[in-house]
Amino acid sequence: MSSVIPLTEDQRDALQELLNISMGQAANSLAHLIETQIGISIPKIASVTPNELFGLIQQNDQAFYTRQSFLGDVHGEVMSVLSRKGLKEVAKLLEYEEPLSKEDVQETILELSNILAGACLAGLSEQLELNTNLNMPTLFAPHKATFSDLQWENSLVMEVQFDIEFSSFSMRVVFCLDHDSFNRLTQTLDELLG
Amino acid sequence: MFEQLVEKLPVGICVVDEEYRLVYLNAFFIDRMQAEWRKSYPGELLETLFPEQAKFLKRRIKSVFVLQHPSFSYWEQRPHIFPFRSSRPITGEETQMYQNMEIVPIKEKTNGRRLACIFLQDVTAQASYFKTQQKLSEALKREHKAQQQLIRKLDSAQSQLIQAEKMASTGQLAAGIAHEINNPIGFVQANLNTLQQYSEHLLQLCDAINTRLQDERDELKDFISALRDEHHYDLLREDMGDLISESEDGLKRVHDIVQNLKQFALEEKTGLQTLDISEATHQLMQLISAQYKTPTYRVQCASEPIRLQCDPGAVKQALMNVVMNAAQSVSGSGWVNVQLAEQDDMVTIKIMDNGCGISQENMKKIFTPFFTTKPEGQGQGLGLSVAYTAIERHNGNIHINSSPGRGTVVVIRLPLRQDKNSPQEFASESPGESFG
Amino acid sequence: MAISLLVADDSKLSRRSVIKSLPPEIEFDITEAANGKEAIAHIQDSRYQLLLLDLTMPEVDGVGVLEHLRNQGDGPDVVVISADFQPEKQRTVMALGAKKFLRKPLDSEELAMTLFELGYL
Repeated sequence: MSSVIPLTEDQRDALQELLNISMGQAANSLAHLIETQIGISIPKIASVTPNELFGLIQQNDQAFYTRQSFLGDVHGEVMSVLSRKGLKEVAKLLEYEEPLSKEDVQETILELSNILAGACLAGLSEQLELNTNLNMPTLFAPHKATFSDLQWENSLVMEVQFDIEFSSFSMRVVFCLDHDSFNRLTQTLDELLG
Repeated sequence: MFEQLVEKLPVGICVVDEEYRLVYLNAFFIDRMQAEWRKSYPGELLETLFPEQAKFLKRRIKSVFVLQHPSFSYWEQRPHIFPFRSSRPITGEETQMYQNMEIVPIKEKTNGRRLACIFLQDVTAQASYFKTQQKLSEALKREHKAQQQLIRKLDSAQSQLIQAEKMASTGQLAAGIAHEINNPIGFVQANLNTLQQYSEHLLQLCDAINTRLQDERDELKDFISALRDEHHYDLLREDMGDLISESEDGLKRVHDIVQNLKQFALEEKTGLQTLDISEATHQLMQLISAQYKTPTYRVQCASEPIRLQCDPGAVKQALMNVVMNAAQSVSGSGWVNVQLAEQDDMVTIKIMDNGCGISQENMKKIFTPFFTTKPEGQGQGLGLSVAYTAIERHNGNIHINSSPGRGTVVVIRLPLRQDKNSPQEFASESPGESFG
Repeated sequence: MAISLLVADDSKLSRRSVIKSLPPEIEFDITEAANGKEAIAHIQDSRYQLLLLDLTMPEVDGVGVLEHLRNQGDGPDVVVISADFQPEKQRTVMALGAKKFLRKPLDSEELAMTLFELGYL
């Protein structure tokens, strides 16, 4: 990842803490729904180029990918990377019945993305008193070529990871903000840091 | 006004409370349900109205209440959540409605009661469009694949043509060379014979003089003896016979090469005859096994006889060359196995061995005339070229698969009957060079 | 006399907000630690009466600090303040000897109530 993070140390620290709180809420919500404990990581924040973003997302082929855009006071996209490993067990926790059809697996992926990414974004927006709406997630397969075509040079990404220990399932959620939204975010962080 | 608007929206709206009881349905839902529920649905349980869908819906609604976050469902994964028909019950082909669903958490303004609102979208048009597109794209993919296969076939046909072309021109060249070499070989052979006789006479003459001289005067004896030494007579005498017999061997080899070249160039066209290929194979195997004793030989014939219309000489030669290669590649406890089978007007001859195999690098060159891996003097590199040309001429084909160190399989396929209009020439049947 | 307090949290913002939320009636002698390792070092150096501890931290996390304290014995009163408030997590830290679990974002009244319950007010 690029070393140039267009945030002051205080801004980065604040954003990380707010994300941490959002993740806690997201994990708690999902834990409540599926009655299982969920591990959360320390959020990572960085500025990346399109190629770095691809590297961040495409780390192995044993994964499923979804993306979801959000609109409102800040605009951006959430990409979720879900491990194939353990997904079946999680589907069962979500009350899907075996044998799982291809559609069941897809629905599980979309639902998990929606729940965790959604809860994270909702928590972050709430704390920053920003208004955001998440659109429906869609499945996608990231290709290096399409990332190289992206029009931006640098984007702020926030990466968080959730683990469901007993099933060895893990999921990473990467939030990307566009330039205007990034300015809006830093403004809000500054107000908070006051 | 808003009430009317919501009522008329082209989107299904269904509101339920935390006990999964219906609070509100808009016209989109009501119009598609049994008339008896039109007035009486409020307060009814979701599963009373939608017993089949209740389990899934309740699970999703629960997650919306717990997470206070929307839940989505798409037609791709779950095409028909509610048992609704798509519009056009009279004119259109009536099909099940494809649906996208979103459930969002809402709160009643007056008392803060938590509710979940289901939005249902009819996406039948998009879905059918998407499916048509998908079918189209699949058809395109299939076509593309077929074309690729065709291109591969063309490629292989082209390389075969190039190979055939090469063979043909090499054949012409070979025929020319064979012809040119034949004449000088003829007189060299004849002269050599005479030379041998002359040399014998000369030696006898010298020897006789020698014997006679034993009794003569010293002066002449010394003179002759000095002459003998000067001309290394003993060495000459010893060597001359070997030199001549070696030269004869050499000439024999040149002669063989020329004969093979002629075969390759197909100068000797004997014309079409019926050959029992199974019998021919048995004979051939006996011949070869007498010469190469190392491998175990086996012939398997699905049915006998197999009558093959062909130029017997050429086909036998082709088969012999292939089997000989197999026999020569085998060492130790090796085997050569030939299988014949007749199917669909074709005979398939499979020659298998567990010999040294052919390296991938050499595989490209095996049909090239004069290519050989045998030590110098032991092979001319014409065997497979001859076989290839003969088989091509019979409208057949030959394929070789080999795994170095493990063995080789050669598959020859020949049509049982030759087409009279075949462009390939068989001397006796050809109308002949009418211009010639 | 001032109460010796150690605030362990990897976020500066979070430490600041914890310190801001402390009841003004009590005088504190405050030390800050930016991760579990630092917290353990401070505890080994001097005695603290109270430890306000975050869970998700680099190096050694909050659970690691609690485990260290349990092996040592005679440590400070620990109040965990964490964003990860899943029931299972709460049970784990309470079993490791934490006196109380508070959620992030921290509510100052809840913190005051806790300090009262623990006898600091």
